[in-house]
Amino acid sequence: MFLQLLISGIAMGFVYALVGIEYTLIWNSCMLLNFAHGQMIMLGAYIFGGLFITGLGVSFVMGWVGTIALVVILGVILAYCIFIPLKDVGRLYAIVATLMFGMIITESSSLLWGVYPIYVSGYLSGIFRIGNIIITKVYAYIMVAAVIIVIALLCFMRLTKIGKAMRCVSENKSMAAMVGINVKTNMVITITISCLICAIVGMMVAPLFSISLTMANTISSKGFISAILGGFGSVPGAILGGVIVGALENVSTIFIDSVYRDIVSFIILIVVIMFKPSGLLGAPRVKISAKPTK
Amino acid sequence: MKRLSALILSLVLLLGCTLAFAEDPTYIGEIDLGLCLGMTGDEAVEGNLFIQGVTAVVDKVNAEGGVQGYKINLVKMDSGYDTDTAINGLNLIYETDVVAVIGPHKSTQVSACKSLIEKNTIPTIVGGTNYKLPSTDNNYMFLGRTNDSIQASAMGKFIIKNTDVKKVGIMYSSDDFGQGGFEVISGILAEAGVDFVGEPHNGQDTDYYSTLLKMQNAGCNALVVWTGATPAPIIIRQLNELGLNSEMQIYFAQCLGSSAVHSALDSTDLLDGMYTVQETFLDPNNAEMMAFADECAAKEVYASDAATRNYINVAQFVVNVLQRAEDPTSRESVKQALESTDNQELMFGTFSCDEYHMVNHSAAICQWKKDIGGMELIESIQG
Repeated sequence: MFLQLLISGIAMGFVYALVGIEYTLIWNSCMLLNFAHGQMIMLGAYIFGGLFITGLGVSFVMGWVGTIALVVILGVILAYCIFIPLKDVGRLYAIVATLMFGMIITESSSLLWGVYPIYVSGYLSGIFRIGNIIITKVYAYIMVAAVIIVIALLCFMRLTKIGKAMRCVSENKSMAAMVGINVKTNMVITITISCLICAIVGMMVAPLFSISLTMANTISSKGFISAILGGFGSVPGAILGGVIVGALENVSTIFIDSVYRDIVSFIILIVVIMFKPSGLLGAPRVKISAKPTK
Repeated sequence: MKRLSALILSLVLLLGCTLAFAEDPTYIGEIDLGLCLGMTGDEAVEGNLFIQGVTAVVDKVNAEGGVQGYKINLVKMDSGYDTDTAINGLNLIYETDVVAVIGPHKSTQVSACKSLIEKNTIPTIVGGTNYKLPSTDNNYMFLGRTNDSIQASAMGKFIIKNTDVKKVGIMYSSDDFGQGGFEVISGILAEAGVDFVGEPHNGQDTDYYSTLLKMQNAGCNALVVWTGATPAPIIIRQLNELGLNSEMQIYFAQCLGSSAVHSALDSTDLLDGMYTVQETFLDPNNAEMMAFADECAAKEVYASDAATRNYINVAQFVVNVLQRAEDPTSRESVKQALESTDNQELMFGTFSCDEYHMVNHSAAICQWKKDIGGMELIESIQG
């Protein structure tokens, strides 16, 4: 039972980790707390399930390709129209604006695809059995996809010129601009990558939740907790935080009723904020109250 | 030639008039009926199904000449998902000339709206089914759906009839619906000396392995799942993945009849052998029911869905009340007709009004059969 719960907890933890990475990327790029993540995940799932699979009737692979292509275009538009203008307004206004943006996504999705949940039949369904342990295929795919995304992202940020520029921008935007880095283009790339991760999370968790307007509410808040636990602004921290939150909340249900599992995550959040606000891997200088850099 | 032309013209005019009259019956007046159900919010999916069900019934009645010659107009307002929206929606409806209101649906909304209903003295047939709602203080509030306590009690009594059941696991949602169901079922099991364990769960979870494995480790050979339509498909999938559906007898709340649950499964074969308690049952052998279901299906309203069917049942009852009312345009007359309801046998249930203003006492124990691709009636209950 312990192993069963640990494995499914770690798998869910990887989903939280990906959401935590999205928060981190936008934060590093625009110093903006984006609370429309959940809705962007939901939008990715709807584009995949609602538009491509049930709407156009294409195969799952083509659905993935189509969704990724569409989300890249959408990411660029969102970067120019929403996120880049928001980096220059007060933090509170920016947070409210992202919340409103999330509501616009929800209501637009409701208008486009209706209020009825969409289930993609036969997609990532089935199980693997290892002895007494059952691993659902969707969890296995989530773990594999998350590991690939994280490795690809880390390689991109450390080995490519654009990635290095992204890290420079996250360190100091003014200095990055002075040494010739195009900060705005850099932000567009970061935000597009973030939107892409949102879409991948949405497509991966679709079999777990069904595609509905509220499908990502919980994972969105857990992803935020993961980012804080790992250290806000740290990509490896978000991964570590996600896995710890996922595993702990699932394993805890051996000892407590499963109805209280969410409390575990929130206790973690409170403890971290009280005793180690910089998180497990975050640099001590990272402060959420920092003012935006113009 | 002129005579022939005149004859053809007369026939065409006659046919036109006949068609016009067939499409638009003449009425002696109109009755406004309020409808306060969830059009937006987290439960808009179900809310819209309810509205479709009620609208289908009203459209059919109007097409057949209305009630006592009056056309029914639906005055629709959104009750949302929360109590504030429900109160606002009900207030807006009460400002109109409605003779009665259907809704709101959620028990929490009904509790919050109770004083408003009683203050406005307009008969309101609510959808809430919580066991705390029946009360002798209900004067203008009527409970149109089978109460949770009746459904849970029917399920509990059905389980203890089965002598193979040694230990029962009860997993229930942490809301009022789940807790009320747990209290009733566990009480019946305890009285009958049947061992049980219970654990609540959140409706938004994606992983129920923990609860299911705990039930298995506790040695349960029967499992009651008293929850809503959102977690139900996930629980069903995970039950099958763990192979527990062949190890245990599974008893579900009425969400097993919901199309939202069916459409979220790869196959409804996963439901094979599971028992459920339903407020209403669509009998495939009942010609009248099936004809009505076909008529609704032509308008994309599906009586095979339990959520839709339950409100079709409520709407048919309200139409029956308006037909029995001495003056269907008078609120007091409608209230008197509601209170005098006694053994009114309708398509999906039998209605009688008791001192708590509960009008619907019907329930049905059913079993899902893979070979018929649907439910089979095991037992009808009048609570």
